Amino acid sequence: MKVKLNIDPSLPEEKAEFWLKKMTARFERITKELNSEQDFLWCYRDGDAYEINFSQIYAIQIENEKTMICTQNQKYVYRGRLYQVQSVLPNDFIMISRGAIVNYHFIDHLEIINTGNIDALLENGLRVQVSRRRIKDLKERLGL
Amino acid sequence: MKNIKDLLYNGLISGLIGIGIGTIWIAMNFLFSLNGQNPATAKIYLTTFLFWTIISFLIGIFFYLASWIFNSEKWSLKKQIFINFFVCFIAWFLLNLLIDNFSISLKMVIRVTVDFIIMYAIAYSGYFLHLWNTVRRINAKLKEK
Repeated sequence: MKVKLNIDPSLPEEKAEFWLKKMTARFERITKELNSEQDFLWCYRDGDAYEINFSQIYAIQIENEKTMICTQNQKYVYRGRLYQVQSVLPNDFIMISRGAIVNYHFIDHLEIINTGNIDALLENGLRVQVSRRRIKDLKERLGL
Repeated sequence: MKNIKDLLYNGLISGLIGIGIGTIWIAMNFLFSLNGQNPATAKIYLTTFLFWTIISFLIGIFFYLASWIFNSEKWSLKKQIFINFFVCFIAWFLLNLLIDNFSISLKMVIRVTVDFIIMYAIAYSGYFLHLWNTVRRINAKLKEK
């Protein structure tokens, strides 16, 4: 695919235009990301609210029926359901099981453990189980 | 629509894999039954061959549908394998019972069980080898970052 960017600081409005043979899931994700202006989530810890940028988020997973946002060193509570946070996340995030979404840039490697399940080890040491059904999605996202 | 297309495609591929495994099985069984006869002149009935080809196709599709047990995210892999094994074994046993006109003997039970264990081991070894290879490729790609 040829990509052409025209950088002009004096533009009154930014826009993007794609010429495609057919719409694919990949371009749906790219379009969603371009249309989104939000690049952070409101999260809570010890009663305080924090703006956590998407780029800081390693994983989002359900723990004890709560949606937990995991950054490099901290965990925060997100006051919403996993499907709600998934709808605002950019293309860097991929759902790897029913209860977990990870930022695939922070995956260090995958491991097949003794039980036969697959764990994703993140760069901060966090271990998140990957559903075998979702391996195919991860492969596609990595371009395999 | 895409899901139905995927379902039909995967079902077809599974059926064709079933024919592949089944044909090898038919050939092996036929060779072992020759009792010294020259394989070059031995004969097999076309109806017998067609019957087993169709049955192999259907068994392939059944194994594909039974593999949906592995889609459950609540069960551990061991539980999934246990349930899948017995679902497939019961179906395989009933099929053999039907073919043998419902006559059960110890020899028949042992033969059916051993045949099934070997087939299951081949099929799922192939699947887990594929999974292991996929994880290896993903890790190689992640190292490139």
